[in-house]
Amino acid sequence: MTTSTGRAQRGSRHLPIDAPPLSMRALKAIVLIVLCAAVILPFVGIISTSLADRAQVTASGGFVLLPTNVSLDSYRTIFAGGVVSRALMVSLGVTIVGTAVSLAVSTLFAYALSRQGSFGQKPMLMLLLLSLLFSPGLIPSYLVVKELGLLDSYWALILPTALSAFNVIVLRAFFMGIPAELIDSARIDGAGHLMVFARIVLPLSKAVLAVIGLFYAVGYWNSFFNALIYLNDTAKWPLQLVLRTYVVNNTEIAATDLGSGSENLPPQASIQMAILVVTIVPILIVYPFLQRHFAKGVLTGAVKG
Amino acid sequence: MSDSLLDRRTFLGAGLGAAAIVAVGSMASCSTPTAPTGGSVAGAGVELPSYIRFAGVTADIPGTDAGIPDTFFAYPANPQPATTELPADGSAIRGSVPINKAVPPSMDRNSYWQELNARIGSDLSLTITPGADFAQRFATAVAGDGLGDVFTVDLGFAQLPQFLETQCQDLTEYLAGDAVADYPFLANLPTDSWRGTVFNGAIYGLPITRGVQSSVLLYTRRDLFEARGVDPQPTTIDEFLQTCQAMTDVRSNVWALTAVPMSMLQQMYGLPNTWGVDEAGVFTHALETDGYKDALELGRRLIADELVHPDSVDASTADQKLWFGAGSGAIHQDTYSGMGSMYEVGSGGPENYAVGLMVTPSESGEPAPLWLGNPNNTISALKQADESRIRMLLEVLNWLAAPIGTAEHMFRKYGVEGVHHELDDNGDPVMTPLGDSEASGGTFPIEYLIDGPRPSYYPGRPHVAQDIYDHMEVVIPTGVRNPTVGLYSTTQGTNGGRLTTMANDAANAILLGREPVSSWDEVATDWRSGGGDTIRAEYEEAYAQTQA
Amino acid sequence: MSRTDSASTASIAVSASPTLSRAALEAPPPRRRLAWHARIARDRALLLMAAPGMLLLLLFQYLPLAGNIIAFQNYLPFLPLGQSPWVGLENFTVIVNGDPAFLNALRNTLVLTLVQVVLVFPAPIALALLMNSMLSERLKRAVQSVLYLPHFLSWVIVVAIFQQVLGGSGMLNSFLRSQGAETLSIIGNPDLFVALLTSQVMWKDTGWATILFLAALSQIDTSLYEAAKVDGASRMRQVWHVTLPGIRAVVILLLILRLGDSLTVGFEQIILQQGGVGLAASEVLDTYVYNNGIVGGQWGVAAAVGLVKGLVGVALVVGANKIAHLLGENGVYRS
Repeated sequence: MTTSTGRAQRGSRHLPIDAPPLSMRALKAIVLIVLCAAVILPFVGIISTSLADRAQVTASGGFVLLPTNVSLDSYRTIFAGGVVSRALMVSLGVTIVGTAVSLAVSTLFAYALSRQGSFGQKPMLMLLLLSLLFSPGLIPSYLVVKELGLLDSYWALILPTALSAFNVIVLRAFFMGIPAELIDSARIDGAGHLMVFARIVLPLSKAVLAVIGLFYAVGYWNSFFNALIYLNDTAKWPLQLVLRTYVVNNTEIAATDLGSGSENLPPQASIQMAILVVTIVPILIVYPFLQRHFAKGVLTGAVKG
Repeated sequence: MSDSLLDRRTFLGAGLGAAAIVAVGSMASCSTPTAPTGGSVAGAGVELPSYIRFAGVTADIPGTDAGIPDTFFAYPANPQPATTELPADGSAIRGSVPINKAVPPSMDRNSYWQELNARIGSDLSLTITPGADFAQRFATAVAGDGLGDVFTVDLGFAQLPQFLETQCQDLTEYLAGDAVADYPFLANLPTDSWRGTVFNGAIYGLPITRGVQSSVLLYTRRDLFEARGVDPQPTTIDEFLQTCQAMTDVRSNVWALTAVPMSMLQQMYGLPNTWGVDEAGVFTHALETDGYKDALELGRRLIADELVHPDSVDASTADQKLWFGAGSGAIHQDTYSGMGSMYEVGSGGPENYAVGLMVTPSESGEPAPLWLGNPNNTISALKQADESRIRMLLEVLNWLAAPIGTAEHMFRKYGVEGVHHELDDNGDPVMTPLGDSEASGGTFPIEYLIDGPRPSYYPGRPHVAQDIYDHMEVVIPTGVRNPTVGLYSTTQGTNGGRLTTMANDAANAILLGREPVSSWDEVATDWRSGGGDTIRAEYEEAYAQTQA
Repeated sequence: MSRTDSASTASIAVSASPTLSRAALEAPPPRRRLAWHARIARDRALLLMAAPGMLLLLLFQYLPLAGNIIAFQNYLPFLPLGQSPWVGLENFTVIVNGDPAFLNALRNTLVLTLVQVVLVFPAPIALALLMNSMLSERLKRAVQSVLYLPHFLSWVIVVAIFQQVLGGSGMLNSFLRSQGAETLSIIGNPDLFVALLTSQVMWKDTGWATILFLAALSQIDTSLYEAAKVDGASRMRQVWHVTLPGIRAVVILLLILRLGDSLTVGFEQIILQQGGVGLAASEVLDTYVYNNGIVGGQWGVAAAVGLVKGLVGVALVVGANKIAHLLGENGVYRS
């Protein structure tokens, strides 16, 4: 996307805000430090526990603040057997394809819904809104997916949740914020709706596209439920469902006593925390690229540039 | 806020999953964790499968008629095949099972699974669901006819008898009486377990047996007791209280109990095993008895005196067990089957880490009568099919039920020697990393389609099997059964969960000191009028028919 | 699309009017009434653009929604849909029979919703404004990259973390005990339950929820700030006259959607923590339905309550939207 606008803007960034009084800045700094500490400390604990050895986890009863002996056994255990690496590929694929499908469908839909007075615009908007308020049951949803022949297919992980009414409504609101004059004049110049959408609306909506794209991507990345219900073959499982079997496996302790050698495995708490780390890291990697688009002005850059 | 809306439609799902996690542990349980088992209102008349003990393997200490399981100090040497033919006919078999371990690699990448298929003689594909999510997967699969040929049954499913009757295979003609002799390893399953497979007067399932090993007891950290010089075997309730006080050191974050062991407190006062029945066939629930208030009073005292871990109420049993392993709790209530995990939570801890089994104290000082747990973990059922297919599936299940000491069992649990496990000096299998992953560390989920009778066997820990035997020898003869095991009450199926939630909530309020013990009378009255009396009547009717 | 193109159109956009301003949201001028087929022909491009979305909506939302007929049935999952016995409005009796436990659950739900609308909803807005006022771009991004993280923890983990810190054997109380002081009963204390739930929700999702507001803030034209400064407006006045109006439309939209969800409060979060505080303090509508319906396989009851919740949501959204219109806002839709 446009990097030139980003560079052009840097020098002008301070313009809207003159330097506040010191007391105000100190207060702000304190608030932000406290907030960040409240988030960072538990995450330090999560990472520490994932790296701690068995003796320390046993002694602490589950949660370790700082590991004395660092051990990567939890990560080795998770990745042993290739189940997790395969699921990681499934999750990446589903997230990428799903987000692309969702964004395409949602932005087109939101644009159509933002053109007030067009045929069917209001009833469609109402249907969209109502779908937010009434949830279909689990079993009927399953039957629909089954009748469509999507059971045991990757599409069952994408299509049923490809359209989020919430996201479409938000997109529509942002699209409607684009000056009507701009669109109308383009229309008068003979531009079709698709042209207006591609040339005017999308370029002016990078921030919200980044946000909605992130919402969709995180939604796909985190979801295990469609896979749980719609897939029979564990080979197609996404990461979150595979990892779920590590987390919720305490349901029947009876099952463990015949398993010999399980003490060679890292403790449950470490594995759980390692799983958290494994699921969050990809998001951490992608996030900064999206953050650029909503953490700073889009239009500002254009003006100054 | 934002993307939670994405997940709105899965509300039901998320809910069930979450609550399933909760149901496992938390709340001071008013009753044993007995799920509604089989039997039925019209349960009379069916002949249970004959018990024909498999004679091919001799245990180190053979089990008893009272219910003590076969005890093994090492895996029987040189396990021999007990079957001669491939059980399956080569056609694909599909099954549905829960899993309580990490999911194994799928069939195409799993040498253990492929070898299993080869030894069965058919491809056995499994739909695997995390245990906590099994109930809702089961409900949707029931609606969509997606369970496959053979599947684990969710015993909590509310309309279970109707479902079994309309959708599942009636196995009576294949298994009742001596017919079961065609399937020698199924005939080797204890009679008590078969009771739980009978619904509406017919056999609809196969038991996943646990025998007495599902009974709960109090585990003690023997090393901690020794360190403090406290006797880990109090005989009276007063002594129990003193023991708890001696094992508590609040300032160093050490409490005697990981949670209020309500089930054990009831046993101390000799209450019926959830339900009791007299000679006249009249049923009484434990919570209706005066002794229940005594148990509440004792539990309340334990909390008030700070003898119980302060975070126990909302903690999962897994968390509580971790406290036991970490030594912040010295006494923990769990089943015999939990023994392996009691050691697991402590590994890496002190060198002398040792787990003891307390004989439950009582008012009189005699061992308190032990509540016998549900003899089954769950049951499995077969989809309706023609006779030849059913017989083929039963052959496969028979093969999968081969008991400990056979080559079939050795492979089924531990895979191929040198690949999935190695044998240690004692002759016990030790899983290789490959076996841990491919064969789920000895718990590949076929164990939820059928399993052999559960032995008392702890690979690498012969002394544990001895400890358990010593404990069982004292308490199993005192065992009290839950008379509703093998009976079915429709109202228990639809209303039992609600009633239990209500009673647990009221019990917690009393234990935590928010309500007086005297308020329990009203709870019991509400329980009766809210469905308890109906459940009682249904059980009484079903019981009368089995007695007839 | 060339870069220069988008940049130049963007600059036109900015000079024309601020984003999300009311003027921009006005409906287009009324047109001559056309016959419906003429309107379809005229708008066919738009209809085609809406088609994939509508298809997904109908297939995966409205088609299964028909399954809600089980609200009027004693639903047996193993029978084909629609063949279970009909029971009329029996499943709805749980709502109208005045069961004290139900009314208690309803009250708890409304209290939580009220607290969350008042405290939880504005929190990300405040945080977004705070971050927006930071001078260092790099620091701002870093802070934001930290604060969104808790969103990715499941409720089981969040509850466990709070337990580790505030629980009876948690860090706070261990410290107090080691000092010989009285311990504080925070978790499992019915009087503090609402506060506990609210702080958990805020900890988990405030940072994440700022993202949308940051997007809205980024759409505000900087020239408006400069104009305000030229007019001698103080920083507070700039926030009041430029920043807040700039994000007002989004805030109101999200508030209306939140109100539509009034009867839904964190099911999983609550059911994980019900034991200690008891049902009187913690039962909400969704846990009530779970404990009284779903546990017993009464899918019909769950569907019935879902329908009623939906109707209440419709009423609240319509009402809130109306109020928004009266205040001169667009709300979710224009009537």
